Amino acid sequence: MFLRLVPLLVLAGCATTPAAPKNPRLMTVNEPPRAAEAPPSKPAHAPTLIRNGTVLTAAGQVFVNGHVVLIDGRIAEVGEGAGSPPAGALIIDAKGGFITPGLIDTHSHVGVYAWPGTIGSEDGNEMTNPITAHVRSESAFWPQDPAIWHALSGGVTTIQILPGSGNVIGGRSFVAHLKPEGSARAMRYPGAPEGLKMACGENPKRYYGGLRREPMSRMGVVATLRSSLQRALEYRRGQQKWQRDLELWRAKHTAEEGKAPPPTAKPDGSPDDPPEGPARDFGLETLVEVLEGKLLVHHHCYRADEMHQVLDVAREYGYQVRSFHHAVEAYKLADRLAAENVSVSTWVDWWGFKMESLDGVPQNVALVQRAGGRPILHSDSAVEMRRLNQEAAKARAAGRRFGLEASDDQVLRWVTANPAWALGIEADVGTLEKGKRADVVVWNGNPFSVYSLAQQVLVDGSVVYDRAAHRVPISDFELGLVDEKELP
Amino acid sequence: MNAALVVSVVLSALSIEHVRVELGDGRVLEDATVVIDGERIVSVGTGAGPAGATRIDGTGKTLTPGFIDVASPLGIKEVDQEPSTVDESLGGVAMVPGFRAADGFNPLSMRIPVAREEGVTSAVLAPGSGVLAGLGHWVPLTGAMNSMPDLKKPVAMFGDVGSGGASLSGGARGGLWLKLREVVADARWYSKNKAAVEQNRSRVLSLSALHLEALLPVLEGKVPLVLAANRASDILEAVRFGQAEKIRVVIAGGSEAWLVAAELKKAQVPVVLVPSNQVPGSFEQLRARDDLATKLGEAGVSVVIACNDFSRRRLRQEAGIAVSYGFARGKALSAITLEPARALGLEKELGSIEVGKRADLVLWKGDPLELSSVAEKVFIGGVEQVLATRQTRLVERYLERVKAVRP
Repeated sequence: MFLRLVPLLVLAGCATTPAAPKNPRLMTVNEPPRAAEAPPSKPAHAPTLIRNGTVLTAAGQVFVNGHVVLIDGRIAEVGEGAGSPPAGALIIDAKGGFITPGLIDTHSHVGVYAWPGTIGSEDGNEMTNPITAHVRSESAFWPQDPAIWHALSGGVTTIQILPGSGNVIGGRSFVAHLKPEGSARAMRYPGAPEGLKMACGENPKRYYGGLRREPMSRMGVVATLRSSLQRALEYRRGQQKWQRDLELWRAKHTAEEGKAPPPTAKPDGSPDDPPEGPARDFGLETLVEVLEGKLLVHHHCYRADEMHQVLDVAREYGYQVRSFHHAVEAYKLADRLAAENVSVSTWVDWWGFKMESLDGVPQNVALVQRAGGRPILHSDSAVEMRRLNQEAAKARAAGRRFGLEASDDQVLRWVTANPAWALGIEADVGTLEKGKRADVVVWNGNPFSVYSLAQQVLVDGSVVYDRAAHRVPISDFELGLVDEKELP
Repeated sequence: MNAALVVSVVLSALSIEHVRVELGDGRVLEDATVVIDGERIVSVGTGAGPAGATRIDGTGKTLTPGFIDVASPLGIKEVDQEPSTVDESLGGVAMVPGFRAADGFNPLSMRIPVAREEGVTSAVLAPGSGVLAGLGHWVPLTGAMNSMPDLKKPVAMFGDVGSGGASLSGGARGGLWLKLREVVADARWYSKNKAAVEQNRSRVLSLSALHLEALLPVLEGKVPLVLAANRASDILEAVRFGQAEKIRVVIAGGSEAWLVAAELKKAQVPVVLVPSNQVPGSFEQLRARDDLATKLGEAGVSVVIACNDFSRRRLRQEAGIAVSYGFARGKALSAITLEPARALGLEKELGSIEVGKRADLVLWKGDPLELSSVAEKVFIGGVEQVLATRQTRLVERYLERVKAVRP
């Protein structure tokens, strides 16, 4: 197998951020036991026409009396008027309500911190070392967590499942698509890149400081991050050297026509085996993927000065931060975040529960938007996840007090198109546009009213939630707990 | 002299006119006039207010009573994870009925203005932890130094008869009920034998005199006992305990209360609940349902709505969420105004727009429960409040910077 060698990255002192390197996968020979790609989505059983509602596309267009046609799990048509149903179509009457893309949450721990909260289901933080880049949220994800399926009733169709923030590098995340399935692998959003969770500040330093070990200060947090990235760089160098040696060995041992067969022993008589590779380290391999721009970095960080620190480290090591999470002070460096194309996953009115969140303001989202950035409302809570639409509405109202206006379509992007971008799936989902994935929500009113609720939720063109229908809980856990006829 | 006095009274009156009024008891007046003088509401009617009064045109706006946070951390818990700023509870102790969270109240809390700008005008400072956690006191949320609570007038005792109380009582619910029965019996004995206690001729008591003294208004039925309970069986135990001991009980939490709604109605026990939190998040909430407030309301149970964010800015959103699941709109506003006042025996002073009550009022642009609406004016005890917070100051500073970089 031919392997192209990867040029070393320019290191410290770099004045500008190099573009994410687009090199062949270094680890091809040494592939970790990666989860298989998700199986292709099941074809939708029937084409569907949703009509008689206001269509908010999150792509700049609003159809006040519009319709959407879904065929084979994709959006086939969006437009004005009642539309015409394809042959055999299921017709959903929006009854004068609203039709939007499915909502997307960039920050959730459902499945790894399940309902009901119990000691036995605390699986989101591997706090045995501040660096656990080798662990995966996917390994702990419990698809029977009722919280996953309660999110559907809030119009959420896609969520990123992150490890917690106890560690400086907490582990790999994955993007879950809310189709009722029995395994994380089957629920993986098809083709979504994986992410890596990192954390700044109080959480890692409080826990490890309590153990009297690094990091017990913010100095230690940043130093731990840098030394991990440096180790990854050196690990990659070792891999590259081995691959060069392997190439040379292969060249030497390739039989050529008309020449003597290659030697099988060294001149001293010892066997001339291929060079052995360095010991594999799945954590460092994960960080190498960060250096090569293959993993999307999601960094938990509250304070502006800490975000500056992280961006400086990222520049030094030549990678991008895809999204800062919580980021309650993003408004203080909104211009830099916009210029460096870093999205902001935040809340509206969570603030002051610890010192690093003290300067949170409800106008964070509106200010980041005003600066040309990419704000996102995230949940970090299975309860909050059910009302991301209301969080977006509050963010708009807060901005309006300061003259920062936003249209329905713009507000909707804070919980659809923008999170889709943060998760690297923006070409596939997050707006109602022809060809996009048929993840659609029908609301009984404007989704930014406190009185509105999702009525139907479609994933891949199939109805997975219908408020009006009596239904059996999706989670095994909830069976028999509430009379199914009594479910609200 | 009399005339001068009358003139000055009229001059100090404030007349809010042509305003839509949600009285707090479920009724609505259109194009009404509400006059306040000093700290009281002096008239509710139609037409022009008294001559000489300052007038506010309420056309297109809605006036509501100020919202009441019935179990509040405001002013006693500033930064949750910074212990030096938290005076909410005595951690790890089951029985501290004499504890007063209000002793630690700081009216200069930076959270109070944040709650106020969302229409929350008063609060009951709730001790945070214990089978009997301590006394709660009412405070107006002016943030002024003269808003310190009257420590002689507790309005409730707070406690916990769910898993929180059990974990402080040896790990079993039986432990908390054992302790509770013991303390109540001791308090009753103490009330009849105070002299013996003072002369050191007492039988052995489970708590000191100060703690037992604090329980007396509860045992005399003067103030309610607000008990945290979510599991239906815990709620039922609490209701029976209240009946047996002749104590006014209020349930806080109440996720499975719909299963025992008839008993709650019969015993006239109100339920304080957070509508957004009705999910199976713990083993005590496995039968939680989103339409809890609706179910309780239909069964005739008094519903009080609370919120659980640290700044209490979500009270009106929570009331709106209850409406989205079928709770009557009028009841939803009552559930953050008159119902909390009634549950804690404050309804003669607070909770609705009525002549003689405190002028704790909010003038809204838009539906008070809707997310897009804004409180334009907030009056507490008749005094218009400044609607600025540390947060608005931060925004002003950084909005300028953002505009400078990207005009």
